[in-house]
Amino acid sequence: MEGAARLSGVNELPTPTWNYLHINDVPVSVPTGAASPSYPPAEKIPGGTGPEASAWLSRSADARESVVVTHGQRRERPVELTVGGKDDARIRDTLVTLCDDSEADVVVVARSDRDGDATCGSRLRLDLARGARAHVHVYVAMHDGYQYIDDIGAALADDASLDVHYHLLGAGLTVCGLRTENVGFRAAVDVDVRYLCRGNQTLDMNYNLRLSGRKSTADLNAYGVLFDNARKTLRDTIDLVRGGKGAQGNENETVLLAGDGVVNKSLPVILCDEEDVVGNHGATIGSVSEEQLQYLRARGLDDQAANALFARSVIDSATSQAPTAAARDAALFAARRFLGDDAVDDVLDASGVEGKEEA
Amino acid sequence: MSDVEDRFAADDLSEVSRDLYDFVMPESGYERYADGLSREVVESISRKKDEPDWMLKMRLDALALYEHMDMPSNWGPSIAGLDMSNISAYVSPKTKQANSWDDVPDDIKETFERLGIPEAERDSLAGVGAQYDSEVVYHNMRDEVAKQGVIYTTVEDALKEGYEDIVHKYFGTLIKPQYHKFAALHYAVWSGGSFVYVPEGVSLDYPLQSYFRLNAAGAGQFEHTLIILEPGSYLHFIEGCSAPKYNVANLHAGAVELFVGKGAKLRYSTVENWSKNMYNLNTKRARVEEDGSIEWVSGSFGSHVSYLYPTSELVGARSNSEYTGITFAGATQDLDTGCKVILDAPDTTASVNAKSLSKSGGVSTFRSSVVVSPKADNARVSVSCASLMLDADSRSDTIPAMDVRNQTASVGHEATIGRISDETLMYLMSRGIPENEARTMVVNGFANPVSKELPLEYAVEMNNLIKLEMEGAIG
Repeated sequence: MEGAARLSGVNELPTPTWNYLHINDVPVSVPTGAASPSYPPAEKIPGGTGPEASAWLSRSADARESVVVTHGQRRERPVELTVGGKDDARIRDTLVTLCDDSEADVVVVARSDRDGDATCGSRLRLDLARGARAHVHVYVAMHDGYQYIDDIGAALADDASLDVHYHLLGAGLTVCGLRTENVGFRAAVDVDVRYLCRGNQTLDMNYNLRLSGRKSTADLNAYGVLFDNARKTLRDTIDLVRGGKGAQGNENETVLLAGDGVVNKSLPVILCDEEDVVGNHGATIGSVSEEQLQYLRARGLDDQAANALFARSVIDSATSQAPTAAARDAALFAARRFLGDDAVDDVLDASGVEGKEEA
Repeated sequence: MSDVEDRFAADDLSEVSRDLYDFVMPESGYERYADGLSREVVESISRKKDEPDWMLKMRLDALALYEHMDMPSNWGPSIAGLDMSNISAYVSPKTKQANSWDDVPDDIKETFERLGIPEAERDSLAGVGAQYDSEVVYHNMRDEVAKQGVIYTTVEDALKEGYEDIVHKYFGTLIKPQYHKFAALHYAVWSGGSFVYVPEGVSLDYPLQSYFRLNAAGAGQFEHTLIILEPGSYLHFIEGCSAPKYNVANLHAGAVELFVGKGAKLRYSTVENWSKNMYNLNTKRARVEEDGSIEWVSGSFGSHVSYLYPTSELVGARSNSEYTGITFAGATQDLDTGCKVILDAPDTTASVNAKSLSKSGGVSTFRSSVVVSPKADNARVSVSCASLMLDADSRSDTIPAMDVRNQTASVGHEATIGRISDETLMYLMSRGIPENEARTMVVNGFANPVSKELPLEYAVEMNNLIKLEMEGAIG
C-alpha cells in the first residue's frame, strides 16, 4: 500500500516574502510507494516546481522519452504527452532537444476518464539551441479527485523562442511550474495562461522567467475566472539577471472573481540586477463591473449568465487552439463541467472545430 | 527665506554637505548601560522610569519572548552584522527633559540647532519632541494647542501625569510583542518616544514633530510612539531621525502605534536619514475606524539595512489608507521597505504609490502585501510602484503580494523598473544642462510625488538628500 509524503519547496518563489501569507510555496502530498523522496542533484535545466517535486516526478515517471529535432527540421507531428486517461501514462518525464533552427510543437494533456483519487504529472525539459522554436500547449481538465503536477524547464540559446500556452481547466489540485532561462542573445519567451477554477479546486502556479541574455525578452499574460470556493495562486517572476543588457520583461494578469468563497493570491515579482533593462507588471483583480453587468442585463443575461460568458471565452479559446484531438477533448470535458452538457455542441460550432469527443 | 530654508535650499551640492547630519558630540558624563541584553538591564530601565508593575511585567515577558523567538530564516537583507551583545540598550545624557531650549545642555542644543529643529518649531510646528539617544531631552507644545485638550508628551510622562489608563488600554495592543523578534526586543527595552492624544473634533493646523537623534556609538534606540485620534480629529505628525556614522553597528527598533478614530484623519510623515551603520528594524502600524483615514508619507534614505513596512488595518467601513513612499539605496545599503494594508470592512479603500532608486551598489527592495478579507465588500485598492536603476552595480526588486478573498473587491497593481532614458538625458543636455545635473533633475522629478506631500522644509531636505546621494556624498 502506498504511503504519502509531503514535498517541500514546491512552486517556491525565487525570493520569499511574508510567511504569514502562506504564499511562498504550496504544500503538496504525493504517494511515495516504497521510497521516500530525497533531495535531487542539481539539474542542468531546472523546472518551475522546484527540485524536490521535479525529482519526485522523474523518479515516479512510468513513461520516459527523449525527443531530438535535428538541425533545421520542422517536426510535422506534435510531441504528444498525455497523462491520466485509461490507457495513458500516469507520470511522464520528457526531454525535448531542439537543435539549431529546428521547430516543434509539444502538447501536454492531463485528463481523467472518471472521478478517482490519483496524482498525475509531467516533467518536461526543453533545450533550445540557436534559432530553435518550440510551441508548448498544456491542457489540464480532470475530475476533482485528481491532483496534477506540471513541471517545465527550458533553456534558450541565441535567437531561440519558446511560447507556452496553458489551458488550465480544472483538477482537484493543479500545480504548474515553469522556469525559463533566456541565456542567449534575443532569446524570447511568451507565456499565455488561461484558467478556470470552480468548486473547491485549487490552482497553484509559479512562472519564473529569467533573462540573462542580452536583448532577451519575456512576456506573460494570465487570464482566468474563479467560481464558488476556488483558490488560485499565481507567482510570476521576471528576473532581469546581471549581464542581460537590453532585456525586457512584461507581465499582465486579469482575474475575474465570481464566487462568494474564492481566494485569489497574486505575487507579481520583478527582480532587477541590471541597469539597462525594462520590467513591467500590471494586474487587475475584481468582478464584472456594474456597467458591464447592466449592459449584459439589458440584453437579457442575468449575473450568472454574465460570469458564464467569461468562462465560455476561456473554453472557446482552449477549443479553438487545441492542436490535437486529446487537447480538444480536454477542452470539451471542461465545457461540459463549467457550462453544462448542452454547451458542447455550441462550443464546437463557435470554435469552428469539427468532430466529437473521443472519450 | 528662513534660516532653515536657507541652509537646505542650496543651489549646488557644494553648499549641501553630509556635515549637516554627520557630527558627533562627546558622550562624557552620559549614563550608559552595559552592552547586551539581560533581565538586569530591563529591570534597570524600568526602575529608572519608575513604571507601574504592569509595564515591568510586560517588559520581562517581552524579554522572554525575544530570547525564544527566531528570525525567519528566509527573510530579506542579512542582519548578520548585528550582534545584540555589542549594543547598549540604554544611553542617556545627564539631563532632565526641558520645555525650553535654554534649559537643554549646550552640546545637545547645538545638535538640534544644526538639524534645524528649534527653527522649524518656531516657523511651522504645533509642538516638538526631541530625543537624544534613549531619552527625550526637549518637549514643548504651543499653548493654544494644549488649550484644545491635545496631549503631547512622552509615554513615560503620560504614565505619571494621569493618563495611565489610556496608555494601558492602547500600549502594545496594535503591535504586540509576539509580532516578531524585534517587536519583542522593543517592548523589553523601550525608552522615549511620543504620546499624543487628540480629543474628539480637534483639528491641529500645524504638525507635531518628534526628532530622534542617536549620538552614541554601538547603541540602540527603542522609542515608542503612541498616537490616539478621537473621532473627527485631525493631526499631521512628522518623524525625523538621523545619526552620525560609526564603524560599529547601531540599532533602531522603535514601534509606532496609531489609533485613528471614526472620521479622524492622521498624516504620518517620516524623513529617515540614519547613518549607514544603522540597522533600522522599525515597526509601524495603524488601526483605522469607520470613515477614518491614515496617510503614510515616507522617505527612506539612510541605514545600512532597513526592514520598514508601515501597516494599515482598515477595520471600519469606508476607512482609507494611503501610502506614498520613496527609498534611495546607495553604496553599502540594503533597504527592504514597503507597506502592508489589511482591508477588513466594507467600502474600504487603499492606495500605494512607491518609488525606489538604487545607485552605487545599493539594493532596494519594495515589498508590499494587500489583504482583502471576506468582510471587505466593495473594497478598492490601487498599488503602483516604480523603480529607477541609476547604474549597473545596483539592484532593485519588487515583491508585491495580494490576497483577495471577496468577489466584490477590485484590486489594481502596476509596477515598472527601468533606468533614465537616453532620450531624456539628451533632451536636457542639449539645453546646456550638465549630465550629472540632468540626472539629478530627473531623479528629483521621479521623487516629486513624495516630496510634494511634505511641508516645504522637509521637501527641501529630502531633495537635498537626493542630491547628496546622487553625488555619492553620503558616506
